[in-house]
Amino acid sequence: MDLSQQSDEALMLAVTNKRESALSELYDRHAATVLGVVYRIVGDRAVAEEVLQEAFWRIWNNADKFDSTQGKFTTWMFSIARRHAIDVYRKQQVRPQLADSANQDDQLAQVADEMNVSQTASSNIEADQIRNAVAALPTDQRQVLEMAYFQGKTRREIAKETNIPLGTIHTRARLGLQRLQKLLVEQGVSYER
Amino acid sequence: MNANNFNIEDLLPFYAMDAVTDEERAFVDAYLETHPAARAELATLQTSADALALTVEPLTPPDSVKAALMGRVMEERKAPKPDVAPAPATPVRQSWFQQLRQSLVFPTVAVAACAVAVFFGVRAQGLQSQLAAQQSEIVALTTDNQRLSAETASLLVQTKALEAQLDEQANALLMARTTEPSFLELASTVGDADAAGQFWNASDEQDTAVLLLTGMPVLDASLAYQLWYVDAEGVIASEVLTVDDTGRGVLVLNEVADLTQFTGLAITIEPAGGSIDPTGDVVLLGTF
Repeated sequence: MDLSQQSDEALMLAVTNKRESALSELYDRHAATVLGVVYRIVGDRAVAEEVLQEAFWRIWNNADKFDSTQGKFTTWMFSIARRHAIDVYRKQQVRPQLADSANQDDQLAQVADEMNVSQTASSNIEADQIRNAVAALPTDQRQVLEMAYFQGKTRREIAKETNIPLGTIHTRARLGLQRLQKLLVEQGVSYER
Repeated sequence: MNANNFNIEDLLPFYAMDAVTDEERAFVDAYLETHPAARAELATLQTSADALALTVEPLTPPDSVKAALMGRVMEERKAPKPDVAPAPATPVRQSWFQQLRQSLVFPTVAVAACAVAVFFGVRAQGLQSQLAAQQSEIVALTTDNQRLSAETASLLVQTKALEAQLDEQANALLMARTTEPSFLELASTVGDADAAGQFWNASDEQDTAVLLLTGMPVLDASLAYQLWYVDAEGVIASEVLTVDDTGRGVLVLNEVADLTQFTGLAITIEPAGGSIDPTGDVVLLGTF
């Protein structure tokens, strides 16, 4: 059986049955993206690599908890990796960037610059389109998504740090995700991994 | 809004981004159980949330990370399952009332305990037998496994040897095809349609060949057919052969000249012992 032709969800079924080759295939498929995300959270390459390994170890050991009817594998995978990365970051406080709420505007500008650099450097058209879509979001909406997704901050923490009413935070998060979805559709990106 | 002051509309985007408290998560989980529309909306929001991960430039991890991961996986599979140790018994100091009560009920309890002990004793014996049988089975399977491993290793060695032999033969065949002609047909030069010859250079070493003549006229006992190697300057004598009553004759050559040096083969009729130079006419000829 050619594992490279199998869907993530089919591979997870094999992982549930303790097939190492299926885990290996999932790792090869997603490790680079996961490492990029956890590095963004912890800000330290060595720590990020430890988090990556631990995330896939948890995927291996908790495969039976994954339910493909409840969502995609990537959602579950990123959730495991991000939660662990955020836990590690909070314990070790090693992340050098995007942690100081007083400099959020500067940080967001930096993020936008990174996105631009990434756009020119990346050969992945789909990733470029997604970056474009995120970059096209209004700054205030992008700020809320950034703090929630990459820093794991709850709505109340975001409201407190930004000194913005909770209701506004709710609105920005919802509008941000909805607008992102609309932009992705407009750009013809069918984000199904 | 509910008793916790939660609003599902407010929480779903944060739930999709996995940025909620445990309490909020429990509320959303419970809500989703009974609200399919909310589940559908969550799926859409999660698609957008997942896309956020792709805004980050992927980083290729070093091979050591995967090696360490797969090492842990293999170690886990090899490691035996930990036994569940029984909780240590905690000595309890008994009151005089408890002691008295126990002394009164002791005979009954003792009988019941004996019955239970007998029951569990028998049961334990049965389990021990099962355990012993399973252990024997494991030993047998382990032995089988070791034997099969040894056989597999032996077969692998044999396979390698056969592969090497096949390679050698394939190379020899290739050499034979590319360096020397291995087969040649000889035809009559005098219009005898039945007369023909076939020459095979038969061995890998190119030093053995077979000449087969068919449909040849039967010769007088004082004569024989002789094979000649033909080159640009003339011919070189080879061996003689005769044919049977059907006109069929076979000559096995154990030392064959380097055929690449010649342009063809010829058959002449010579005196029975053969000639140094041809004395008769060429009756069969084939060219490479």
